[in-house]
Amino acid sequence: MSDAPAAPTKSLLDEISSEVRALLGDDVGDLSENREQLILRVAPEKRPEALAVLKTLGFEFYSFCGGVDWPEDEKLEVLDHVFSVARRARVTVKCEVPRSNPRVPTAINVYAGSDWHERETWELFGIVFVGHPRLRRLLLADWQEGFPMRKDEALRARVEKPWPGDFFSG
Amino acid sequence: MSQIRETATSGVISTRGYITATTEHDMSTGDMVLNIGPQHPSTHGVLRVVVRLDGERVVEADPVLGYMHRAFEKLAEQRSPLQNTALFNRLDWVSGFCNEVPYCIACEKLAEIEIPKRAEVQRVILFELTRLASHAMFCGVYGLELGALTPPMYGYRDREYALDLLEMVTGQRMHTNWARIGGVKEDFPIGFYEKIPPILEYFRTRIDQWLEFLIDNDVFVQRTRGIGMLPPDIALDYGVSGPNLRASGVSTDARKEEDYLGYGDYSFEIPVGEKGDCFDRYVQRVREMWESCNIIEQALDNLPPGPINTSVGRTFKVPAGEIYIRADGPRGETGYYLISNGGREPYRLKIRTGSFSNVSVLPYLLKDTYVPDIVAILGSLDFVVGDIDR
Repeated sequence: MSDAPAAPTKSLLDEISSEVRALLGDDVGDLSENREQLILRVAPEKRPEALAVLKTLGFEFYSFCGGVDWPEDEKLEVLDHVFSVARRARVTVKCEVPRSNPRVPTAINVYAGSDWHERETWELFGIVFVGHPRLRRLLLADWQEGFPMRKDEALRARVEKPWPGDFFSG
Repeated sequence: MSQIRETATSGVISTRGYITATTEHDMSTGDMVLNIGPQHPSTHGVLRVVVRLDGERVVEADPVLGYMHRAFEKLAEQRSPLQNTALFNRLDWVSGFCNEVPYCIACEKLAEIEIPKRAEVQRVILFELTRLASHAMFCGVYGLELGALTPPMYGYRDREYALDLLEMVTGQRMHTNWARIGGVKEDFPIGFYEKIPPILEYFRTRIDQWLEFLIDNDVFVQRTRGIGMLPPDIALDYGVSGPNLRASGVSTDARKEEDYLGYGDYSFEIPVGEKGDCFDRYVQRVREMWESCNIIEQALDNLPPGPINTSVGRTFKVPAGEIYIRADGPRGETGYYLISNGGREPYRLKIRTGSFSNVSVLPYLLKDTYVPDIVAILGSLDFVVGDIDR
């Protein structure tokens, strides 16, 4: 009755890893396997190249771009997630930028879909996507200041009225 | 203006069939900016589209979002999994259950919790019932977008049959909050199984009627055939997913590709469209309703006895790690990129919703179409604004 193959096998991810290594060469910072997906770390300036290489390898579905804030390490992380329909595999491209000067090149010329995702990440995390033609507000209003998704930006509702909290912790 | 001149408009009918004004004295022949929304009946919430028009042709379209931004990603960082599932029902309120399940799966996979088979099958039944409800609503409401007032009555009626079943189980029509880490909240109530087959049978007859009702309707065909063509490469590039992507001819479905909820045990087809126009996107959803009926039938046949929850308790903490879980919801790929640092709340939760990426292709789709087609194209993407803005 089962007609669907399960999650990508290890050999498939190994195969993709070696192809990525062959095409990107020294630009590969780190390439590891994480729960049915590959995580590729590159230098921030190599983000468009890495995504372009993945696109030539069949990863034509652009899933999302997002940010992560790591204040202890003084860095912000940019995540790009792509999927290959033909190979049924997923890759996350990660690059780290300093929190003081977060700048990363845009990937809008590689994946048109990264347009809105980059605008969102820019306004929520303050990561500047260099070369993006329309880097303006997407979700927030113009009068709002700061980058709300950074960890030092408190959730104001909880500042005004702290959550009682005992119910779930007890 | 003291002197009102007589307007002399001498128009010529161009080869493309619309009138191009050549000499007007009181009218500007430049582009016109038209603001559609945010309060517009066809926008399913508050989406605003600013279009620049040349006559009746759209030169440029710019969707303006954020009227319903509720900062779910920030809120989720302060909330326990149980609170978060209640939150994620509100992402895409038309298919609330489909949003809470992937988040539970993400937490379970990080914690390496194996959920009981019975809970898995029950999740599948509710998941597909939600899809039926969502697609039934689309099938009706899309008639409304095209100016037909009767289809939404039928659409909402059919949807209520599916929602009645959800309400019988969860007590809620839309914001079910039924999935728990480790299973579901409670077992199905007595008398529930007997209720499903007649409703599936009803849906099957309705599907035939949908096909007769709109697809055999000449007006409907003319308004949708060849309108809003989305080629597969553009769709993939923008991250368009779900029925919209499959209507463009790309055979992809997370239920077949990912290992979740045991969807590999069910035999069902992935219908695909040919052209990727509005018509195909409509037919796509009608055909997917049929497959959902098939899945629910198989799930009912194979519902094993046993527990429905591995109780993890309220002090449950998600182990450190990161994972991306995607599921095929009625509006496309619903995914959660969960980064946990071992706490109860997620350290970072990126919510990938179908509607956001689906709507991001609008500037492409609306370019060089005509004003009446704007609503036809908007509606065919079947977005929910809560799902776009999050």
